[in-house]
Amino acid sequence: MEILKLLNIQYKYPESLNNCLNNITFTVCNGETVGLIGPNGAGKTTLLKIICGLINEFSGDILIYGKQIQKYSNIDLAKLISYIPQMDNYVFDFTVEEIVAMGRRPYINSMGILKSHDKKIIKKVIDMLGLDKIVKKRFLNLSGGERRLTLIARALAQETEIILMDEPTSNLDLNHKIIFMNKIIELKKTGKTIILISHDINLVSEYLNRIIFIKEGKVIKDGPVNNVLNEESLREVFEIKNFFVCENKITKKPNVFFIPEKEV
Amino acid sequence: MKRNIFIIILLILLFVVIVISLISGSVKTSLNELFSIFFNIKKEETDSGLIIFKIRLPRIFLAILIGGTLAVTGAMLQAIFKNPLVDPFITGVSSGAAFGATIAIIFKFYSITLFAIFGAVFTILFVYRLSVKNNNLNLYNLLLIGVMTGSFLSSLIMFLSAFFNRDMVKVIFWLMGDLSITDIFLLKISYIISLIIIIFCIYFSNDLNILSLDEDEAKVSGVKTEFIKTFYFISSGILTGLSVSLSGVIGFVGLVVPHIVRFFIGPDLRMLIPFSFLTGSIFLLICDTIARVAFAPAEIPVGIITGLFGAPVFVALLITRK
Repeated sequence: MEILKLLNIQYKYPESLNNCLNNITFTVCNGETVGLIGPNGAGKTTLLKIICGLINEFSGDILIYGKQIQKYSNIDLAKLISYIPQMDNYVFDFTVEEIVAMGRRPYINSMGILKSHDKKIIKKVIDMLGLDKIVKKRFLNLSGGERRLTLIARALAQETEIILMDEPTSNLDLNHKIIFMNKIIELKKTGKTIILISHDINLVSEYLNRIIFIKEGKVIKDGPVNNVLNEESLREVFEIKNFFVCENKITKKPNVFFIPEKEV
Repeated sequence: MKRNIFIIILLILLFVVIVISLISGSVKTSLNELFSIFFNIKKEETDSGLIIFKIRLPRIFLAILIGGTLAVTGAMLQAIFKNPLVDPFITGVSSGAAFGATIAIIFKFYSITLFAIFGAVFTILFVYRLSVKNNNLNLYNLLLIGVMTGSFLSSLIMFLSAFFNRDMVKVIFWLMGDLSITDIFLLKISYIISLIIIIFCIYFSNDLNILSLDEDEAKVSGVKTEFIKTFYFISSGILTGLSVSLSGVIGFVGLVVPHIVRFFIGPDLRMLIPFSFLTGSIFLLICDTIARVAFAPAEIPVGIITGLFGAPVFVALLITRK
């Protein structure tokens, strides 16, 4: 079932001459996991911000379940979409538990008093992500991986069907990247729709089921991983040479390999 | 530390400091005397009784209100600005309030308090707008613009006072913070208004918690960020305006106290606001007692004492911050 539909999204930053986004159109169905891939400055973050209602001055339509996002109240929108930004420049040192509880905001009042139902959900989310040992720890004392998982937990506590993530795996070591991507697969099984920006092309290929390539504010390629991740599209999007795409024999997914210039 | 233990310690401390403050001063009062004054029916007829009830007690109530209000305002400004190094003094908001009050005094406008509030609210919005560039709040811009605005307004106040032949010593006393002049009626009104505002501030404080981490995340999780910011800007302005019109510009209480409290109970404003109020009261009461007693019978402005504590702490925080 179609959950999110973007129609001819155009956006220009007030101080810039060129469009940041140009005629972006695509549809996402329930339970899809989508990787947004493209060069730096292609407009990926801007696109996520537009989808979750942080930027309003765009033209085109964004429909969630067929209804324009402008027609949702901010509380109702918060029950449908959660967003995990790229950086966490937190200054104040809340505990993991406190941060996860903030995800319940759309369901409770400004004072933030949790009911037993809210506490149950928070506990479930914390257990699912394996954060139970660090719930009382302060955020700024956590490792990069633990911080990411905490922010995911907060987005899950928000119980939204769509989760947007901006480069969730940057700054993570290999082990935490894999732990993280496996959680994405678990989330997919629970029916969540996930759109994430990533520069880890091979991780996207192995763990997600759809890729949208974006360059200079336009959708270049869009489709299932096996159909669109190939040498031709990488050349077009990133303008790179000296690489090849090969199938992972076990998963049958395309992977990218690089060759230093001297070896060519 | 457990919050319950912390609150008991604070309450005991507050009581002890009140008693010490009641018996110390240029006229010494013994504990026995204090006890008999409080439980004597003819309490107001003796000299000591007069000093206790007409002078020291109102001043203690004033110090409690001002210390508490400044600490709460500091905690809230730190959260809105996502910056633990600000308070009403450093952001220039106190000076804005003092400037408003000065204008009202010189031109004999009706309400000094009202003008102090206008001055404070206007300064907060001014400093905030100037320190935001491309939707990003710059930490050092904010500190510099705040300090400059504050010192510009202080100079302007002195200039205007000299120009209009005001008593300069009094003005300087006031700019350094002074708890000695007490208008009992204004004190009572201020208590009521401040406590009502603080209760509302606690009510919305979880939204401010979320906002203090990241504005985008707050918006996406359903917080009405513009409303919350405006609400806390105006509340901080009113609280600062009230406290400045009662006691002048007292620095650093709003900076140091929330820091100490956050160290013990964490940054959750639902707890931080009430605990800061209590701790700020105790802190300012101690400072004011020192200011009264240190050079008795002469008094020095309480702002000198808070500055002696606060300025080094501020520098230490600035240096140790990554």
